[in-house]
Amino acid sequence: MSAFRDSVAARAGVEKDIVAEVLESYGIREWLPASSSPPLRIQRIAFEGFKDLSAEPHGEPFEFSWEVPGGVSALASNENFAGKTSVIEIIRWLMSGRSAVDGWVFDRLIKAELAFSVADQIFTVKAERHDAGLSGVLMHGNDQVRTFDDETFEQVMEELILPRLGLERIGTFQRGAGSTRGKVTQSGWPLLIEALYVRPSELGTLIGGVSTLAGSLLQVYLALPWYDTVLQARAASGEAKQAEGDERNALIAQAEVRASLTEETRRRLQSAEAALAQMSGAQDVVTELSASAGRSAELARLEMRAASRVESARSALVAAEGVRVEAERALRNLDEREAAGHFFRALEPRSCPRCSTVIGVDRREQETEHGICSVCDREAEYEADPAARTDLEEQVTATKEAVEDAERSLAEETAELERIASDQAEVRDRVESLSESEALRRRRAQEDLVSRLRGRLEEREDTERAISAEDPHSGVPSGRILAASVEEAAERVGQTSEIFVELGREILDLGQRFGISGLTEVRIDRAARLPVVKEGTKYNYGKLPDGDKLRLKSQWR
Amino acid sequence: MRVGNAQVTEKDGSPSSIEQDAVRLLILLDVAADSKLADGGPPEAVASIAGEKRLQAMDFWLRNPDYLAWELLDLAEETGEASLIEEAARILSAGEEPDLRTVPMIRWRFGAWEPLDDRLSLLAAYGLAVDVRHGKNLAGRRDIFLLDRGRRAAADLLEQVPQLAWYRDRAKLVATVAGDAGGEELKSRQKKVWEYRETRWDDRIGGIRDQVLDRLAALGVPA
Repeated sequence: MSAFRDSVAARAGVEKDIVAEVLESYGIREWLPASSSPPLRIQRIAFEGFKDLSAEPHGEPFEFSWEVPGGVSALASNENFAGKTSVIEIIRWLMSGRSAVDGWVFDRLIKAELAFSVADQIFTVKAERHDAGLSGVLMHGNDQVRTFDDETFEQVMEELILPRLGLERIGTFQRGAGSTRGKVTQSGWPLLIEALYVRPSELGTLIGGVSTLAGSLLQVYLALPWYDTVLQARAASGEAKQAEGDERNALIAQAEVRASLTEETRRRLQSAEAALAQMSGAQDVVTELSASAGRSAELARLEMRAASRVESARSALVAAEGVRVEAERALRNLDEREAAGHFFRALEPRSCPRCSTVIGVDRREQETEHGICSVCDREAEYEADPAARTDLEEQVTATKEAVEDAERSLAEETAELERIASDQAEVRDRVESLSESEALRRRRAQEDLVSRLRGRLEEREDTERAISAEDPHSGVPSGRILAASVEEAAERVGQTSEIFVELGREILDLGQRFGISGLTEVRIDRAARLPVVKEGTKYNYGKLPDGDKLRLKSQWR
Repeated sequence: MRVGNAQVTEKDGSPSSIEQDAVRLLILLDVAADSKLADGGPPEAVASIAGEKRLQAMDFWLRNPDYLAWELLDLAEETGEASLIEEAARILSAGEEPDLRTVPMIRWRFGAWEPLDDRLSLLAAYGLAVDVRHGKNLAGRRDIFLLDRGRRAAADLLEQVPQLAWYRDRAKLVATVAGDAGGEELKSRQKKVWEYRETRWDDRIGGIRDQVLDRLAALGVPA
C-alpha cells in the first residue's frame, strides 16, 4: 500500500483495500518519476498535387519537398501567401492525422509525405488522397508498420507518438453548453500537438488554441508531478458524482412513483370501503346466512350424536334379540327334553343296551311298584323341576320385554334422527337460497375488493418502511474516495510551485532577448495565465500587442 | 340341567340331552330312511339308513336349517324346481324360528359328527332301533335299522308332542335333498360351503343364515 492511498483512505474515512479497489476500477494511477521526453524532429516534408481539379487532366501539377535534418523551429518568407502556413499545417496533419489545412489547399493535395525522428528512430508517414478517400502507410525505417485511412489515421499517429514522448491522453469531465450532464472526454495527440505549434491566428492563448485547456497542456508538458493523477481523479470524480446524482434522482423518482401508487391505493380503498358501507341491504342477508350456517353446524353435531344413539339402540336391540332367542331356545330345549324323557319313561326297556340281556317282567314290576330302575337298580324319580321351567319362562318374558323396550328405544332414536335430518335439510335449503341472493353476491364481491386493497396497501407500506430502514450510505463510497484522491493529488501538485517561479524567470529572460521592450516582470501560473510588467505597467497576456504575444507564445517552450 | 332325579345326560358342550338326540334320530329313521332296506338287518326292521356317514350328514341338515336351506337352493338351481326355493325361504322365516331349532355340531375328520352310541343305545334299550356293523372285525359300514316298535313309538310320539312335528317336516326335506346319495357324496356337498369346510376340527360349525338370505334376496325371494 502506498502513502498516497493511505492518505486518500484517511481523508475519505474508508478502508485502504476499498481505496485501492476504487482507484484501480477508475484507472487512477499514482505519479511515478518519468524519464525526460526524447526530441521530436522533422526530417523531411514533401507533397504534391494539382492546382486545378476541375480540368481534365487536373491542370498544372505542383510539388514541394524540403529536407530539414535539424528539425523545424520556424518558417519564414519574404512575401505573404507563400505557403508557410500550409506547409506547417500539412506537417501537423501528417504528424497527428487531424487536418487544419486550408480547404483550398487540401483539396488539391494528392500525395504528402513526412519523415521525422523520435528518440533517434526515423518514421515516415506517406499519405495519398483519391476519390475513395485517404490511404497511407507508416514506415519505420524501411519497414512498413501500419496502414491507415481516413478513419484510422489519427489513432495510428497517436499510438505511435504518445508513448514515445511519455505523454498520456488528458481526460476531462465536460458538460455540453446548456446541459447539466457531462461525460469524460479523452483528448489525445491532436490536442497535445497544439502546444508545439504557434499559429499567428491563435495568439489568444499562451499554449495551444483552447484557453480552458492551456493550463492542462502547460502542466502536462512540464511533466508536473502528480498532475496526471489529478486529471484522472478529477475526470473520474466528475463521472462518479454524476452517477451518484443519477442514482439519487432515480431513487427519488422511484420513491415518488411508489408514493403515488400508495396514495392511489389508499384512495381506492377508501372509495371501496365507502361503497361497502352503503350496501346495508345485504347485511340482513349476511346476518341470516351467518345464523343459518351456525344452526346447520349445530344440527350437524346433533345429527352425529343422534346417529350414534341410533346405532347404539340398534346394537342393543340385536343384543336383546339374541338374549331372547337364547332364553326361548332354553325353554324350548326344556320342553323337548321333558317330552323326550317322558316318552322314554313311558316305554318299557327291553334289553340292556350294553350286553343285550333281556330285562324281564320282574325287574319291570320292581320299577313300577318300588321305584327301582329296571336297567340300573337305582332309585328312579322322574319329576320335572318346575322351578327350572318357571325360571326359563320368566326369562323368556323378561327378554321379550327387553326386546320391546329396545325396539321402542330404537324407534324413538330413529324418529329423533329423522327430525334432526329434516331440520338440517330445511336449514341447508335456506342457506343455499340465501347464498344465491344477488345482493349478497355483490356484497361478497365488494368485501373481496376491500380485502385485496387493504392487503396491497399494507404491502406497499411495509415496502416503504423497509426501504426507509436501509442505510443510504451502504455500498462502496466511490464518490468520497475519488474526491479525496483529487484533494490529495492536488495538494501534492501544489507543492511544486517553485517550478512556476523558475519558469517565469526563464520566460522573462527569453522575452527580453526576443526584444519585448520594457519587460521587467513575468509570472506564470498553473492555468497558464501570464501576467507581465512592461514599462512599469501590469498587463495580462491577452492585453499585450500581438507581436509581444507571438514572442512569448513561441519562446515559452 | 336336572329334570328331577332323572339322568339328564347332557354331553359335554352339547346343548341337547341324550333323550332329545334319540328322539331326533328316531324321527329321522322314521321319515328319512333309505328307499331300500339295507341287507343284514333284524327281521323286525322296517327301515334303515345305510352308513353312519350318511346318517351324520342327514342329522347335520336336520339340526342346521340354514345349511338345509342352502342345499335346497343348490337343488333348485340344478333341477329348476321353484318350490324348493320357496321351501328354503320358509324354513328361514321368522315364523319357523330357525334359531330355536339349530343344534350345532362339531367338525371332525370327515365333517360334522357326533357320537351315535348313547342315543342309539337308548333306542336299542327300548327295542326301537338297532345298528349292525359289517366287515372284518365289525370295522366296516354301520347300518342303522328302525324296528317295527320304533315306527309305532315314533307315530305315538308325534301325536303326543305336536311341537316335535317340526322335526318330521324337516326330516322330509332332508330326505329330499339327500336322495339315495351315499355318505361320502353328502359330506362332499356339505363341504362346498366355506364356513363348513374351513371350520377347524373340534370346533362347532358356524351358521350361514345371512349368506342364505343373500342368495334368496338375489333370487328376489324375501325370507
